[in-house]
Amino acid sequence: MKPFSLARPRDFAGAGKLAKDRRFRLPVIKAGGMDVVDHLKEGLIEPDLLIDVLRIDDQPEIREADGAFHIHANATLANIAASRSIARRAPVVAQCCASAATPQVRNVATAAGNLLQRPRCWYYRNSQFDCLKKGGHRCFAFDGENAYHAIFGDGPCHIVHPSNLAIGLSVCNASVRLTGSDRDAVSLADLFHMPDRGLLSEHNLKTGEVVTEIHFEPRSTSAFYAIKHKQSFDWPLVAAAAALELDGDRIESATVTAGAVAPVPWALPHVGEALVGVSLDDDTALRRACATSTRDARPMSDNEYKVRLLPVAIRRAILKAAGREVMS
Amino acid sequence: MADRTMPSRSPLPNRPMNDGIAMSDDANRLDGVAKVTGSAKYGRDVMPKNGVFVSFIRCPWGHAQARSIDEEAASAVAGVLEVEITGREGRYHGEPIGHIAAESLAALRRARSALNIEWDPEDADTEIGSPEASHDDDPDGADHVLEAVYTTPVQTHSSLETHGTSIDHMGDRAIIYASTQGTFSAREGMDRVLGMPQSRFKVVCEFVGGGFGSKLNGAGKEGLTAGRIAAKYGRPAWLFCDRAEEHLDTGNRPSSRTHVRIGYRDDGTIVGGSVRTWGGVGVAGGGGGVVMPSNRYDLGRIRKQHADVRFNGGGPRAFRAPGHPQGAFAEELMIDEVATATGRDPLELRMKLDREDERRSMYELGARLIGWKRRQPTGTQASVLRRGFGIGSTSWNRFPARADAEVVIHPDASVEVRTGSQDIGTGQRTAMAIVVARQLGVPLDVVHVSIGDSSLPAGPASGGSVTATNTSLAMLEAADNLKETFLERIAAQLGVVAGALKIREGDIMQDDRRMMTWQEACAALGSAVSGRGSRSRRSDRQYSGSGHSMGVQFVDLEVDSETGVIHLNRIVAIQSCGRVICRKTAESQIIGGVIQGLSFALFEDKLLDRNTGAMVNPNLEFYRIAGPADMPKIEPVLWEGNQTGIRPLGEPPTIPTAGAIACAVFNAVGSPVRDLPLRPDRVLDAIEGGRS
Amino acid sequence: MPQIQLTLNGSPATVDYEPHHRLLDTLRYGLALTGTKEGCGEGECGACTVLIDGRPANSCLVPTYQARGCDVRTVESIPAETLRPLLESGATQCGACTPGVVVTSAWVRSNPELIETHTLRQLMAGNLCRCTGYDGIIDGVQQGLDMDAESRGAKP
Repeated sequence: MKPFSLARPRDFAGAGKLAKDRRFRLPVIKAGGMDVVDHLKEGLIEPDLLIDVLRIDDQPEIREADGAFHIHANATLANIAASRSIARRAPVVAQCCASAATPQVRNVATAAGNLLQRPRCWYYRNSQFDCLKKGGHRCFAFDGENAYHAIFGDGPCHIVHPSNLAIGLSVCNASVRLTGSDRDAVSLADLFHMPDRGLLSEHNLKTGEVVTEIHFEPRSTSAFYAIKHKQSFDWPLVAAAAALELDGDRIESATVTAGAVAPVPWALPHVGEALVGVSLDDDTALRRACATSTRDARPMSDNEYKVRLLPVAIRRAILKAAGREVMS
Repeated sequence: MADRTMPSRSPLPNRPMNDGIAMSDDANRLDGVAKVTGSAKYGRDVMPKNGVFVSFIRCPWGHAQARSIDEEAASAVAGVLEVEITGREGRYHGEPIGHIAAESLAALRRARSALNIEWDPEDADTEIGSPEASHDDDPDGADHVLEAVYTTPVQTHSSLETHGTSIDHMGDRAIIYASTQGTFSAREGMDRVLGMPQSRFKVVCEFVGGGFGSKLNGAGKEGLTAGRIAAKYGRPAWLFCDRAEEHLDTGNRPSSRTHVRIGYRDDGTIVGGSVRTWGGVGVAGGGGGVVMPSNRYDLGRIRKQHADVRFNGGGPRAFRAPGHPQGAFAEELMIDEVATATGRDPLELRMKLDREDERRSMYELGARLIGWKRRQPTGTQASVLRRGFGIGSTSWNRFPARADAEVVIHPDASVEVRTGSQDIGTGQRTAMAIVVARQLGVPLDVVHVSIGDSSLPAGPASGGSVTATNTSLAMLEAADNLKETFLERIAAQLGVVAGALKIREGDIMQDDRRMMTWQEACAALGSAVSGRGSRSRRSDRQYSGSGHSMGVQFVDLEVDSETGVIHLNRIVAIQSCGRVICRKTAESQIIGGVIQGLSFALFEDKLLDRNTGAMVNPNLEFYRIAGPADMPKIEPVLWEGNQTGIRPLGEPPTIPTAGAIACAVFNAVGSPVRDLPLRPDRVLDAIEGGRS
Repeated sequence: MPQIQLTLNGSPATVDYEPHHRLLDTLRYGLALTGTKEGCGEGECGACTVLIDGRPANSCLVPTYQARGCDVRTVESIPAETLRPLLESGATQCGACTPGVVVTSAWVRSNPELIETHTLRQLMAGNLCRCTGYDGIIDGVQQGLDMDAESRGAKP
């Protein structure tokens, strides 16, 4: 670890200014530190300035205004998961936070940090592999160990996006509020980009832009469902978030996003369309609609199983959202 | 053991077989307080003042040559004492090619990065592959032949405390705080590197954070390297692995491949055949044996061949019942495949094949406890959640090993149990205290244990489940010798004949009259009195008992047929181990064996990148070990069988679990999954038509 | 060496630390509070769990400076008499995971309402144990909760 300076700005605007400060070669913003500390330990980044924003608490962690939720960037996953109001009015968000990592991590990890954490790809995380994300020339997963990699997207990098929270938020018309530039906010859908639009980061924030808040709308009929190999602390093999509007048992509209299948939270608008008009009592129709989720899947050598899991995760997220038995 | 004082005990709820077989049903682990309060000092916790920190420089690829190494830059890093390169070729990810010594962990890190090693990677073999089997002709008398290949991955021991040694070097003497399973073997080679006779240093390991076989390798490269540095600088030295190094270079359970071609009759009788096994031993010369067949079942005449296969990976070390779980996985699943093919119930078939009458009784109890009658025939379920039941069996012989012991009665009425053997979490400390307390006839709370120190009487290294079985014989003899001397001296004081006195709950009794309290008697001694014992033919004859440990396990699980995820409901583990010393630690050993078996079955896999040979999961994130939410209800049943004396317990309970789980999954989904771990994708393949 | 002020195991403390030290390093190497163990160094095993402002966190992922002004409690501060249930239930074998288990269990016991929305196995999911099979751990935490509930009930 090379020595670095530490800055603790009083507000996010100050953090943004520091991040743009040209006296520093690589300023890095840190909140809970779950991912940044890991990067430092593994020698994946060598910042000369660490901008610690963890103590910035200019707003309450969770508030409701104008019919929407406003989550402070530093709200912990534990507090989001424990919010009764979110659990009632946007269960998908509470559930995806509760499903992440361990109690110890959720107590420290922040909402913005979770959205902006780097991928868990084991080639990326090993400093020896000079992969595309580190400015190298090849993706080692492409013809290597890719069981946990993407089944969507054309590369050239095949990571899956690591944020559970992003998957849940993406069915709640979420956006992040920014400071440090001329734009105030960016929608969650526009926050992330595919590898063909840049390999060195997964998000579209410009240097100096700092997330201050996350906004999302209530979705009272919503749920998150993750299929995990191990039930104590594991990353999802495949996850799905669904938000529904129901007329009795009939789906009037549905928003579906898949996780752990693509380099970004993978919105599936055509699945939402296929679900319109489907009765939850008509399991054949429901399964047929969910099966459309894998239409564009291009699995790699070791992750074809994800193609089989994805419709299952989506269907279960839908049933869970509707308060039905998922194992039926 | 010679048991003269066994009180009768009231039956315990749900434990009909357990009545009164433990010397202590309620004793807690003696070192429990130190462990729960954090005051227990492990080797890794000893950081002597003015110590030197040491770490290895390791190869990051499966096979590579270091083309350039900037030793100068690394040596120039502030706080670095030395950089030594001992070789340029790395034959596996994690192989040391030198070391760095520095004043702090931070300086070590900076120096490692300053080395700026340029590697030329070479081709690396990463697995056993599919060696060809040349099988014999079909066995005589077979109606059918089953040909199948079963594989298991490399499993790492993953002890929570990593390997390493902390050396307190005090000029002309030293204390070696080693995380080891062998207090005495950890001295080997230390005299040479320290330049000191064994009389000038000792090994201390009062607490060891797990080992499971991986810490049986003497001083190890960690200890010897730390020793060299300590001697060179005349200062304390500290070298402990991090989690990645622990996965890469501290041994493992080797991978296995078992190819069976076996004949059976329509009635399920197995008439023999051939079993070819291969063990993946990395760069090591051997150690990949697969115990299949186990000899627990009558499988007819089996021709067995084994070969070790080398590849670019760290070598194996003993791992809790080496060779057994991987063999039992293949054997149990093979038997269930024969049972299913012939329309037999696997329980019924085992009753027929098992060579041990006693295990047949265990099967009956296990079937009742697990609810075997709820089992549906294999492959008949169509629901989302499919229930499965499976069985496995186990056995373990007692092996003799050298052990000495000393027991001392101090004038303050405390009793000291002295053994240099180590308690790696098994409960050895507690067990020896109980053995001595009972044999002397004193309450447990006056007994204190000195353990894990090479200046104490010698004990065996903890491998092969030999520690308690052998040390206890030495303890029994020591206690009897001590009692004799003690009572002689007390008798002289009381003016009675020694033979007339007995110790009962600490009281000195003549007939039914209390002559002295324990305190009075000890105070009357004036000085400490001690007794020694050792495991020898004589103590064997007198105390050892007979028979070998055996057991069966029953699994009840559900498979989510849409996701391939396995949910374990219950595991019943029936285990004999002769005379149980301490019920709580014994049950804990059984449960612990089961958890490692189920973690092996469901999760663990040291995964090497097929192109570079680098381990992609050297962590506890993608190297998955079972966590609290993955556990079934595990129900240990201590079986009072035909065995007498203290029989082995550490290893047998981990043998059958993976096989029993694989059988239960087969029962649930209708096709066998012949490769561990039982990953969701493999289970889905099996469900979707035996693509596994 | 830089310094932070914090409340450590109930008392105000001023602590010197190496700039790159994680809270875990500062506790173990700087303060000789070696009850807190390092199991994985990556926030996966929970052996290094400490309470920061009353909540369990992995001290291996927390830079020391981040504890400035916090209330940090390590296993050494958990009253031994409250640990009886873990002792009796067989929650330890080798003991290397035990301090982390004890700290997480202390959090659960001071926040018994957590079990209204979580299972004990979920709450303990951040603490890996290689030896015991967890049954003793879960039983011990449950018995601790029962004991606490009883003693609360007993008070006027």
